[in-house]
Amino acid sequence: MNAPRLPRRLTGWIAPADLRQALFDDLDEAFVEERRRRGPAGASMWYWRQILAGLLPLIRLRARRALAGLTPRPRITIMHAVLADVRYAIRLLVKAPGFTLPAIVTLALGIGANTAIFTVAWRLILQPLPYPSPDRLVQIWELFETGTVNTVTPGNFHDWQTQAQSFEAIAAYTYFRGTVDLTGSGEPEQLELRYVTAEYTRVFASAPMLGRGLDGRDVAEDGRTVVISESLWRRRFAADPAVLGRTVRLGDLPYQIVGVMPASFQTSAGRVDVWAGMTIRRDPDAHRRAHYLGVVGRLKPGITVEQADDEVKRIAAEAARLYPASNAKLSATVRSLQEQRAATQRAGLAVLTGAAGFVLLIGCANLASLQFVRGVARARELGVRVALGASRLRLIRQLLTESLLLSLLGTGLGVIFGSWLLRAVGRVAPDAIRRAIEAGPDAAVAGVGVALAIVCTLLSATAPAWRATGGASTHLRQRSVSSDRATSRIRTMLVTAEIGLAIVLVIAASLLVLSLVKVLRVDPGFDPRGVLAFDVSLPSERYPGFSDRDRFFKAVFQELSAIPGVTAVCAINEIPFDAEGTMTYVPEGQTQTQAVGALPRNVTPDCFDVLKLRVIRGRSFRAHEAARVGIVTDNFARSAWPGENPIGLRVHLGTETGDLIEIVGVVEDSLQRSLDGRPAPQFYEVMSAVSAFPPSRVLLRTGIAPDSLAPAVRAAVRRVDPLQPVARLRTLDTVVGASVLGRRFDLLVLSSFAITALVLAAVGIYGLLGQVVAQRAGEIGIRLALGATGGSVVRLVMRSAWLSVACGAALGSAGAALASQVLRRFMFGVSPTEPRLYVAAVSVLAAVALVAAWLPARRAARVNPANALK
Amino acid sequence: MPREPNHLELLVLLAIARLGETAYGVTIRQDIVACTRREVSMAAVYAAIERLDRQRFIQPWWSEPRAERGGRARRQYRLTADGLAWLRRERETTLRMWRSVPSTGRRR
Repeated sequence: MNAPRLPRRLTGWIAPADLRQALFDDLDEAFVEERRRRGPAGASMWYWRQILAGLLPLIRLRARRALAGLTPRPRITIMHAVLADVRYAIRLLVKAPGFTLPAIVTLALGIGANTAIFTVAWRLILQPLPYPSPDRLVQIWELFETGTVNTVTPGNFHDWQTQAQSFEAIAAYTYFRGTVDLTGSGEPEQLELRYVTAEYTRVFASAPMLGRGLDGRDVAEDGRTVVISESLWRRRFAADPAVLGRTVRLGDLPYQIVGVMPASFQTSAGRVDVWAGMTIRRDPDAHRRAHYLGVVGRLKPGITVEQADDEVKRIAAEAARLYPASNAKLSATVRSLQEQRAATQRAGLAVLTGAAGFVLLIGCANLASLQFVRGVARARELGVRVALGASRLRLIRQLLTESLLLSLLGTGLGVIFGSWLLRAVGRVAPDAIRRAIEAGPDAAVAGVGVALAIVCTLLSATAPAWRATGGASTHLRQRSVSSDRATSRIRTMLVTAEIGLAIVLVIAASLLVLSLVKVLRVDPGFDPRGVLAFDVSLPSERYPGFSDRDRFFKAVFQELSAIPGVTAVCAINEIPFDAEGTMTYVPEGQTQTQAVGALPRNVTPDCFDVLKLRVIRGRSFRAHEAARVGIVTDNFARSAWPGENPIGLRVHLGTETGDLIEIVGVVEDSLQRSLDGRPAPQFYEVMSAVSAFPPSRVLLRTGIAPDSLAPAVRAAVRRVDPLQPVARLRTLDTVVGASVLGRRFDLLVLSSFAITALVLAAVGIYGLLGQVVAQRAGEIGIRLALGATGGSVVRLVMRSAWLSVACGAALGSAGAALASQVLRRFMFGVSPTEPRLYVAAVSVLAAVALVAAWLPARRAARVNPANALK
Repeated sequence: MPREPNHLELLVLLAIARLGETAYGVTIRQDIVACTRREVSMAAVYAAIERLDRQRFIQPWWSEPRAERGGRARRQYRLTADGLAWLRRERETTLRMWRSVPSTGRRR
């Protein structure tokens, strides 16, 4: 007789599965023994007692187990388990290079692109300025009614400095580029000089590396003290700590070095080598008319930028009332320095960050797709583990560990790839971005890399892991067709998304390519090819008057003309694409309100020959002009005297009461700021004793490669004046090219992302079809055995790709049409919805998709029916 | 922190130590019932075993498949080094404590 059934069933519900059988077997054994001793009835009683008395311990046991599941087990710590998982994952990844390699490369491309862009964005936008409490640093501008900001007059600066209560300190500096020659020991060198008021160092609260910062002692008229930059200190003084107190000759005058500022003291506005003190003089003429100061301030703690802005606006309104002649239309505004630095770069970087994000998304889609396939391939292994008692959570943890390991490997490779990418594009990057790149990666970048790795893991592995571990019982059976089909449906959607994202990037990149091509095709009006430019300073100590400068130029021109290959030479105050301030010119008989704003160009007579600018009316300059004459550009003439012949008419320089200059010629328009801008009006005047803008640049046209002339040019100038440095020797082509650097950089980065996206999408399609072929090998074998041709099999397989390509292309084109609106400001001469571009991009992608699909399809056609049917 | 074994667990541990290679559910329960002359449920023994196992005082192992169990194996147990060490410590502690108990106590 057997043990009673009923109590047994009762226990069966409560006892945990793994113990149930052993418990029953033990009870049965004991029951047999009891029956021998007590007889059947006694044994039955005993059995009942056993079961009833056992209920409570069993319930407690289950409760303990449930609790233990929530808390770490005593001996197998999480750390042990994770390490075991990692070891196992490494073994598996090494064993499946066909999965591991594409996965890691995919990730490296995505993460590399993102860390590269983040590095730049971090440096330029997110990283705090390298000064104490950088959020309190502000720049104060004059503000026109039109909303544009302007540099500041000494008068306005004085008002703000004496009246404003919002600032702890407020300081002015010379905003426009200033240079001074370093002479004495070694080759003379032109240094970038910035004059600053006494409070400048206090505003930035930046400690000097050596000595002291400038202060009240240094701003006196005859104060001959300077603070130098860290880079000059290394370059010219071999980083000698004893440099303090040493005297340097700047522009032929002795200056004493009192301090060295750290490298971080450089601002984004450009390199500065030397800081010298200045005071704001009450020069009656310049006080409220000459806008040449940059003004920075440090807010008092607790004062917001808005409060400070309100205050300077009130002060400006009062000034407008007191000095209507100069300040009537002038307000003022306060902007955060941090914000200001970010604003210039934000738009471009936002686009590139978006693009990098797309690449990462495509990478994740690819990875997810790979993981799905792998899940199917591992169904047996997972099934066995489930059968052996692994919980679903446990398996998912294992799969996520594998993915995380992959992601970290990918991140490592990605960071290497990213820094390579940065170095590659850094060569063509605009200055600000290049400086950001050269600073190298730091902890923030590494942190973002790791964060991206985790995001990738979650994005790409969660769903496949969930699927792969579900329905464990089916895993051990023959591979289930329905789960395969669901997996390939998900993968088809992933590939569709990849194609869509790739199309967006390809179209965006081609919009920029087309824009750049159009910009580079723009004719600036002048001919920059074969022109060499350099700067000379002609310090007033050695060249006090016009005749001294004239003599210098004549002698230099003679020397330069003697160089073989040089066809024309001239001097000019500003070369094209390097231009800054404009000047106002009032046509005779008109009022200030009709003034024309134009770039002042003071030149020597051969200027139009050097630049190859055609004189379209009147005459060119003569070697000796009897009176003060000017030549204007066509657009100047049209805006000053619409429909009239300007020859013989006169304009006032600056204001209604300014000097009168007669127009003797009209020269064709030319671009002066950037290739994608509009031609700026220019006013040319021959260099003379009265001209306000003495030339300090020399241009020479040659028939041979201009670069090769550099040594000869330096030698020629040295023969005329050995103390005169030749600064910024460069070709005009490079100067013009620099104006499209930003465009070129954005384009290069975006294109490399687009190509990466294409490759990833191709890999996605290839992988998807590879799986289709593997799944349908049997079916294909039957078809081939029944007489299907190879071609029909290729078509059959490729048919499964066309829907994703078509949907992806449609979605991608729509997405691109939206994205191109964001790109509008970067486009030039291209419509954001240029249909040819969309067709071209879709065709390129279709071609790539075709190849990616054809490879596995061909493999399918070569399936040996005998093998497939086995 | 694992807690100290309770009285029943101590008995199970001792039984396993006494039984050696033949320790499994039936024999352990039998041994305890024989020594304490008190009925103990198999399930309670199992619960004790589970806790001792978690503390690594014992180690389960599977016997050869056996005909009387329908071809299934017995889940058997042996003492681990940790379990043995704990038992020894427990014994010494208890003996030390007994030494100073006056011998006038009531005898059964």
